Amino acid sequence: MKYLIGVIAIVFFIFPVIWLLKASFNQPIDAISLPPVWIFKPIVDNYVSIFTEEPFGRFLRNSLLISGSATFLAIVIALPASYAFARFEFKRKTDLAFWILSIFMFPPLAAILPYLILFQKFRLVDTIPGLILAHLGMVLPLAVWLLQRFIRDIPEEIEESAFVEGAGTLRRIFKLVLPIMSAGIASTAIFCFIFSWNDFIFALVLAPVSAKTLPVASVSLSSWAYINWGKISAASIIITGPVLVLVLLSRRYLVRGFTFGLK
Amino acid sequence: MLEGSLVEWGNGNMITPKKKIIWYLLPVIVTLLIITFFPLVYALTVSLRDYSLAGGKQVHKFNNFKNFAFVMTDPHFYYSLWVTFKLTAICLVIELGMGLGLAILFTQPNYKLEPVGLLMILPMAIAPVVIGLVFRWFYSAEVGFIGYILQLFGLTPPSWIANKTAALFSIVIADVWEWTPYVFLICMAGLRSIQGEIYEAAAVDGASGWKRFRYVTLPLLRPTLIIVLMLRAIPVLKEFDKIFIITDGGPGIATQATTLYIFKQFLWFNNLGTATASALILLAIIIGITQIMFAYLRRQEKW
Repeated sequence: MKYLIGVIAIVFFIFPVIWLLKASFNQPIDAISLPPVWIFKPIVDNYVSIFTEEPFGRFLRNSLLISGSATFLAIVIALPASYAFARFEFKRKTDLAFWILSIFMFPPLAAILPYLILFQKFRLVDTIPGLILAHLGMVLPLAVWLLQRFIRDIPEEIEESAFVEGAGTLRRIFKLVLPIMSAGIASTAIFCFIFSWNDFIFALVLAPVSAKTLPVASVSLSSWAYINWGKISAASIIITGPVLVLVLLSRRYLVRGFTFGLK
Repeated sequence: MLEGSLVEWGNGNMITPKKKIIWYLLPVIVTLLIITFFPLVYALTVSLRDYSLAGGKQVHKFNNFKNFAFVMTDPHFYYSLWVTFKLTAICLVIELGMGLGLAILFTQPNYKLEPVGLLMILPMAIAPVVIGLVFRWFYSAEVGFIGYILQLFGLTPPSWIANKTAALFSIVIADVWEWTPYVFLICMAGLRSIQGEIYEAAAVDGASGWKRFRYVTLPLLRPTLIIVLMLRAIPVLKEFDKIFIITDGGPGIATQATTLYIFKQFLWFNNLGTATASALILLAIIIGITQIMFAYLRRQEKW
């Protein structure tokens, strides 16, 4: 009995992904046939067609550029502050930390509408830098919180001995802390990347045409009268694939990453 | 706020002048002020004016809180809050129950499926957009897998589009699918960390099953459960992607959560003033809940 529940649960939670994977290699007609066809000759037509009939190459490039840049900026900007949160004592430290975290909790729509007006003034609507900025606001708080957790994991004693030998703070950070926490930086980057990569609403409003990202593009595939589920499946797998690889790489820190370092 | 004398750090060997600390914090503070705080203040000014994006130069005059008055007297707005509340409550109860149940199952001693249990976290990695699309497909009347399965068992599938309750649950099911693994994962980590104590307690008084769960596991797991609850509540309150794709608020406004209400004020009525006003009200609600959550976290002395 307890194994039956376990098996049902596992099947339930992986089935839709298997389904998408199968449909993405199906002929259009097999993709939607019920009962489902499980034995078939896999074809890559769906993948080929979204890159030839639809400009998914450009959307993929946009997504990579936007998520990559937002992640890189978030890490660089967050690192000094997270070091200060982990190592220094200062007045109102907790207040400041929670103010930063609360930004992560904001509903995107509250920020998107003023962005839209401000972006029009600065000619940032539908541009890659515009969406990078919007995503930076979303992932920066996450980066600060995760990085400071990783810095706290490093015993202070390591830095103390270097301090006694006369190494200044910056020197200690670059020569000691950063190399030790490289795995932590990598997984923080992975989580920032995932949040930016999976974002839909910022991209939908702020980058509807030329800076379009993969999630917005895959939804627009479904908005016509005839819905080609094969194409949508292929697009979905292209969105999901990289994230799955990244999650696997950072599986040690999954709980930490998805709880902003609270657990 | 940050200047002053010297501050001690660690066991006192390392001393960093307080004046320098501000330089560590400044990049984050300035960036966040510019890209989040400033737009929100700007949102406040937008919410107090007549504002649409159409047509060239316009004078946006202060309109005497007309937008807030409109939103606060709009029955659709209150209904959207009710939808958001229903969604949050139903999703949290199911996700917490299933996630905790599965975590208990998978942490049982010698449970053979444990190594493959990690496969269940798959949904967490998937973009809400993709989840929305695949579930919309599953619910489809002609090519939907869920309807097909129900028919195999001789059941008539509900009309996911026309039936209000079914439409609400079509979103709940997708959200449960996406986030139960999250609760499962965190509860599992929580259970592992208290496993020793559970065994001890069980060995001492020989209690087993329900009693052990009720009087040992549950109290020990309480902090974990509260954190999960709070970390799940806020994303459901903000939920947009899946609702937009699966039901788009329909039938009628039956599944129009507050986020969709805001979006429609903006998209259909091209009224940035009322859209922003309602977004700010939602923001205030979420800030309120976040503050309760933070007050709890601070008491936990995680910080």
